Amino acid sequence: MVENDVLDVEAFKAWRSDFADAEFILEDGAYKCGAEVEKMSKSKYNVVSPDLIVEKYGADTLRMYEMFLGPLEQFKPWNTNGISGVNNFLRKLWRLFHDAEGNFVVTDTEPTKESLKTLHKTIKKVAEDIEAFSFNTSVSTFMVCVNELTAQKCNSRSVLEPLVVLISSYAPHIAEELWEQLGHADGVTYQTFPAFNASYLVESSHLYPVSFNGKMRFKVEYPLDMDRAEIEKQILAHEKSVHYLDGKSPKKVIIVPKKIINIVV
Amino acid sequence: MAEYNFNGIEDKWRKRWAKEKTFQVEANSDKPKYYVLDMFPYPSGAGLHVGHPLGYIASDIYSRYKRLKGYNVLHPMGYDSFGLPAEQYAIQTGQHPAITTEENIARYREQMDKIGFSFDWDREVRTSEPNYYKWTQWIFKQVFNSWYCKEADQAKPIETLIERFGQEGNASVKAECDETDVFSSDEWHSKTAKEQEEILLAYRLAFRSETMVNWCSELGTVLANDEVKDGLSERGGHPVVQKRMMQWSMRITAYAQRLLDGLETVDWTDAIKEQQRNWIGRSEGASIRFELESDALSSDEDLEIEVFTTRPDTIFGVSYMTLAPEHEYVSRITTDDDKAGVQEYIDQTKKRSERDRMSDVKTVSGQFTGAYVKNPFTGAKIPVWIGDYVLASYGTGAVMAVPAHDTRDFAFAKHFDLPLLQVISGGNLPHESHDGKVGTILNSDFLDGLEVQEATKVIIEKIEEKGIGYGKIQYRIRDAIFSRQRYWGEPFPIYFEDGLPKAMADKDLPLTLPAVEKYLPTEDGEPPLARAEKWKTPEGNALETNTMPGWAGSSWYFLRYMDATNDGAFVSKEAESYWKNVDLYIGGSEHATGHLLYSRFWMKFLFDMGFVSEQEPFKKMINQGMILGRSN
Repeated sequence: MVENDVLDVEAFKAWRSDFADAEFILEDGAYKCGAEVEKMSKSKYNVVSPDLIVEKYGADTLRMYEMFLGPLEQFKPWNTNGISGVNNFLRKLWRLFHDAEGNFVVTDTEPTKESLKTLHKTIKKVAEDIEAFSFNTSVSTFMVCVNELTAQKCNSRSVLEPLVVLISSYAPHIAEELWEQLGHADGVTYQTFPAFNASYLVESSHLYPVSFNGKMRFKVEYPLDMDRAEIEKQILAHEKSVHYLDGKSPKKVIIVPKKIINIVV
Repeated sequence: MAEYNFNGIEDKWRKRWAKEKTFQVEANSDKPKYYVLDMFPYPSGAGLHVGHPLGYIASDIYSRYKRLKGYNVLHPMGYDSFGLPAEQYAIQTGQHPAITTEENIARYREQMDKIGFSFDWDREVRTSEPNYYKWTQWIFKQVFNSWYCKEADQAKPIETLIERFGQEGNASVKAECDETDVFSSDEWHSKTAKEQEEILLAYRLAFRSETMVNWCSELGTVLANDEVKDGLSERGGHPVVQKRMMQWSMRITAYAQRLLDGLETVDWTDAIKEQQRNWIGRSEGASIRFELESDALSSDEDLEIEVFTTRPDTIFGVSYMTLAPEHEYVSRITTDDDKAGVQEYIDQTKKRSERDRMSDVKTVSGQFTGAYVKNPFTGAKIPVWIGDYVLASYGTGAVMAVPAHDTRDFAFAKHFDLPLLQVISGGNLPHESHDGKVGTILNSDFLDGLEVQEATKVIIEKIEEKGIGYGKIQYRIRDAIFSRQRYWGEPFPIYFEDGLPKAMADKDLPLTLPAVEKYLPTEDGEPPLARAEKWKTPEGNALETNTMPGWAGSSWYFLRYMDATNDGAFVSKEAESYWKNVDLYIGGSEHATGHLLYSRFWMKFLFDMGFVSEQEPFKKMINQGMILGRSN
């Protein structure tokens, strides 16, 4: 009868005969209840049934959401509002594998460096977190991972397949389904946990913010092993630099390796 | 599938896992084992709320992860299905607890299945099933048929004790046992079978004794401490008295030091370990005997009062002695003048529970007996009082009071105007007692100038020299009561012959719970099982009518999961040597001094008897915090 601390006045009146004629002092047309956060129990009328959650959002959402509430050993308040966030995350995960029409779009193309980096960063963090029984932080890690892969428009099997295995402990149902769609008949339960490869996390280039007279105009990526002279040569030849130089000659080119480029005009 | 159709997907895979028995495991794998366990639930009528699966989800994630890491993972689930709620429902509605329980279990299972847990359901246990409690009864039999040998520091079969009695009598047998008279081997052989059996009962690790219980005649039942408030029952406000009742107990005290030492070997939170340490409550002190002087005693009666004290260093500061009102000497030593007052006080005390007496630090009450004891070092006459803050069941039921250095003694002395004798330097006397174990001794003859620790050693030596006592390690933990006057619990595999308890034969187990017309105690105050028709052995011997407590089934269930369908043993050697013990246990911290202590006790016992190869049941434990609801 109460949702987000707002009472369904009609339902309340219908619940017990003594309340049928009750009058309510409304704020903005609604009766706002006071609230206390305490142990969930039948006698306090504050229980939430898992059956309803599973029906409305699915078991995988319930599982991930309960872990997401906070560190396992601490007390956590239940808040049904946060659940749709987790449900949306699983939808996003699904859409990494399917297009808007529902076609399976995983390909065998080579993944980009960024996607491999995202994947291995996730493998490392999730493994560490599960070993440390820090289940709540893994949920965040997965969310960041899926957001990044989505932005990268990654549909490469060599990244998505390990991701399915990775998330199978948390969301086993969707993982099994995706695993099957990836062409496997053996189920995801007894697969091998993805191996973490540190080399994918090594930064090989830097994204330089390029400024003209201190004003940042654009960014460009150069390999870490490129020397100053080469960077200067390349940046001055860059089409955007030509635009901002506007025919003038640069007075000074300041290059701080792995940090910034500033061209004084 | 255009949209993420979670309902369809989840239903499909639930069915697939069940059909293919994806999570079934065996003990014959090349893979290394890993045992993940959740504390099993009591299947209540309310079903699960979202708070319950929190621990289950965490353990499920970890179990699935371990499988991916190449482990052979044992992840079982079952039900702690004996217990009070089903019995209360039976009393209200007449529906047999077994039926209610079955329905509740089905509902729990349905709810749990929906969440996708990777349990090996072929290993399910239910504590209320005869093929489970057959083994609970069998383990009880082992406990009953054993004794604790202090020399070997382990439990042993009772046959070995009988053999020793036959060969050498009991003088040199060092056992954890009740007080017994000394007898030689000849004397043993000349005793009747009944006399021998009575003696053995003082040594058995499961024994019967009279304990104080909260009896409410209106409700016709024994009440737990937290069901009683101010001498009245919480339900209905009926008068409750302290009554002596014959109950079964288990000698957990024999394992006190090992239970303490074992805490160093497990990965549990400091908080829980500390709770267990405090509950076991090891203290080093001394037992000292004081000579009694009372006009009520004749000149040839040489009685002594024995006290246990953790502060023998303060013996020069003793200004009075307090006995528990139930102390056996009270009536003998009380002088005529004080008899009336003392009797009234004893009657008052009957109404208070032990827990109240221990915890109520504000109320000071007591009575002088008219008797005195002699301080063995000063010769001074020390008045003997009775006070309900001393319990007859702890230590010797008598304490030497040093009000200058103990808060409770101080309150008592202030109330009754008894002297404060300072013997430790420092503190803020006479305004408050100086309780600390730090300082130098004064006013204490040969102890003067010594630090407390050194003085303690010296005084214990002197006490032993004088032959009036000895250094002693005492534990706060009491033997665990092991019987209930309820219906819905495990029957004891015990019958009575000639007034003595005897164990039933293995082949007669399980002793199944009989049908009864009513689930209430009888009009005479007998437990519900007394209502069962023909509750006797074929030979006509009466069967035990009490039932086992809630912690019986849960003290060994983690072992049964290893070999859940074995009809020949509670667990096979193969199964237990492979699975060993639980690697990760997840559950609430509220069981710190109940289940988590009893299960360690039973594991150590089973280890001593050679049935298991590990001493600790749970290597690592995590206690999940509750999910709180929003109450409007």
